[in-house]
Amino acid sequence: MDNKKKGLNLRLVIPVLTIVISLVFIIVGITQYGFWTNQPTPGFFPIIIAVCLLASSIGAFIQVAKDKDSAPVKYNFNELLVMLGALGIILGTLVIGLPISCLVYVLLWLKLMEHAPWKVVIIIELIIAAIIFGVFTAWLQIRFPWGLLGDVLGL
Amino acid sequence: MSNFASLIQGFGVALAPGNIGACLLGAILGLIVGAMPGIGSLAGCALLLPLTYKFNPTTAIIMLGALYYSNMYGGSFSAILLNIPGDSPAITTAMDGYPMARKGRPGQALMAANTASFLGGTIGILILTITAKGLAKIGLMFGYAEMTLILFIAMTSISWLIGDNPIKGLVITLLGILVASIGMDTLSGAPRYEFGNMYLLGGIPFTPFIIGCVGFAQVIKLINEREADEKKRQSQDSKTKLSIKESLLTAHDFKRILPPIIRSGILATFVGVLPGSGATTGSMVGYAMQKKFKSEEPLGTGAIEGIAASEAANNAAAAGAFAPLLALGIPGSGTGALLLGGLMMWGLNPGPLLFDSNPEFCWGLISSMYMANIFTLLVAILVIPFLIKILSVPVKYMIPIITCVCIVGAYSTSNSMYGVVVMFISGIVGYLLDKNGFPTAPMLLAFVLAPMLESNMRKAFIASQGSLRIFVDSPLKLVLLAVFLVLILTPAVKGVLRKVKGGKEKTKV
Repeated sequence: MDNKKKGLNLRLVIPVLTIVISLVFIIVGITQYGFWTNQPTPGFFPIIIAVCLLASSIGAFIQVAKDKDSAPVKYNFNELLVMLGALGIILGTLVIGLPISCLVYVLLWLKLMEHAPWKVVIIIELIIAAIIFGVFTAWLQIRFPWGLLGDVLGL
Repeated sequence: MSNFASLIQGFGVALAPGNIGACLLGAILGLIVGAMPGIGSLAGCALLLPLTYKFNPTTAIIMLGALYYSNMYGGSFSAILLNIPGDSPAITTAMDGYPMARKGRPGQALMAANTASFLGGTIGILILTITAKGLAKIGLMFGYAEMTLILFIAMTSISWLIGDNPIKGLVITLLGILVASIGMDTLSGAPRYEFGNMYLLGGIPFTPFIIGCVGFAQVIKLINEREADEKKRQSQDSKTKLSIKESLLTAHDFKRILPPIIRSGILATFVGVLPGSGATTGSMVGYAMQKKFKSEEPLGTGAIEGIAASEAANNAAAAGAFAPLLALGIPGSGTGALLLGGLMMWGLNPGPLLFDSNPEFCWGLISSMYMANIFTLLVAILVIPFLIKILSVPVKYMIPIITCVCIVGAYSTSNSMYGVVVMFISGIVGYLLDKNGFPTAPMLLAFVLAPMLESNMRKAFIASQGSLRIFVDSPLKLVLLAVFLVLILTPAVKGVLRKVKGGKEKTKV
């Protein structure tokens, strides 16, 4: 994905976002938490930092806008797949719970993305199961959510 | 001498069976994580942080310390055998390690790296033993204003040193501070910037945030390394067999590596003490210094001196970085920030008072580093015959494993899906920032140090009733302020000089 072809320089988006964040912190800070009442109030420190962030973000924005030499940042579709995979686990947790979501995700990822042989899939599934059930559940006593499946099975 | 007496008492703590076990576990996990290309010590420590929740603070930090420390050993394995540095401090090791392996001496290259790591680390820990308490005593002389200035210096220097763009470093540092100010006001405890969200009331949870920013962001980046990793693996000689006996160094080899180890070990320890430098800068400085001395073979062609200088330096710097962390509460690197965050999470306040309030903890940790150094050396030597197998795990199979560890780890620290959501969002943010040239390490450092900075700064202003004079009313404060200003102004002055120079050259043409 070439940013220039899309007509949007994604490098500029980050300074713009930090400008917005700094403005939110300044406005909310001044209106809700104050700056100084005989002594520094809760808004004092964040407002100072937000003002500095605003100034440096404007500087970063100008720097990026002037920079015509740097190669555009390229994004790979596979990177999005990694994010979607993790999102899939989060959403899957609501239905089949966290442990099973992780195991299903590993199976799908290894078979569909990596075309891994079954031997590798089984070994990695066992490693993940050992981490979740052995380390976290048995040792660290973490109670993972089981989603709707847990409600049905009474877990 | 009292330091060594305290150290002996520290061994009483470190040699408790639970602590020995934690140290050994940390050493083994650190070696594995360090050897796996592309993970790195910061992501490795972040991923394994939830495991330490089971322990008491001393055992937990002993394990994390061993993990961080042994990571430096592990990074050299893939650098030497695959020409893929496991972590950034091992980049200079690969420069000579891989050529030496190609010359038919992979075992000796590994043994030289292990020996140098051990000796360099020992030098670093010895210097830490001697200086840490003295540094803490100096720290006791600091008031709120001095601490504010020191924290500014620490935050500024890491953003200045990491990456080649100071303004981006500054933006990211300030963003880290603002993120940390969400939740409760550090002094009054009043809710702040929670935007009506009950989850934000408790602030952004440290561990999921760190796991996301470095662990999950690293997985997203790893996907691009799959093909390169496959190609490199195909070009390796997979039939290479290593044995401990064949890897032993000769007396001549030992004579060659000893001087660079001592030089780099001493220099890099002090480099590690500086805020923002860390093991990567240490190894680069150590390697650069070796260039000024004579080596039997030219550096870069498989010189054993190059491996020794680099490995001794990164371990020594890793040990040195503990001095400001324990004595002043100021981490020298992203991994140091993570360790500091862990200490705070366990209710300890690193800083000048820690040596007095928790001596068993401080000296237990320092003595455990001697122990970790020995354990790691033993494990590192014993795994040599199995290294080819360990390193043959392809990057593509690590991606789903690390993703699951990130999610499960983030859940376990908060016992709610909120932690997982924070991890997921901070992972994507960390990835996008890194991709666009905004380094995330300064943000982590700022996130951890922000509460301390705010507390000191506000107390300084309360004490001075709002007057800025409190920051300039003593020679020490003026020196600190001058250092801070030099750090801020140097890049700007350099930029102006570069432009003036460019303009002059144009007029000449």
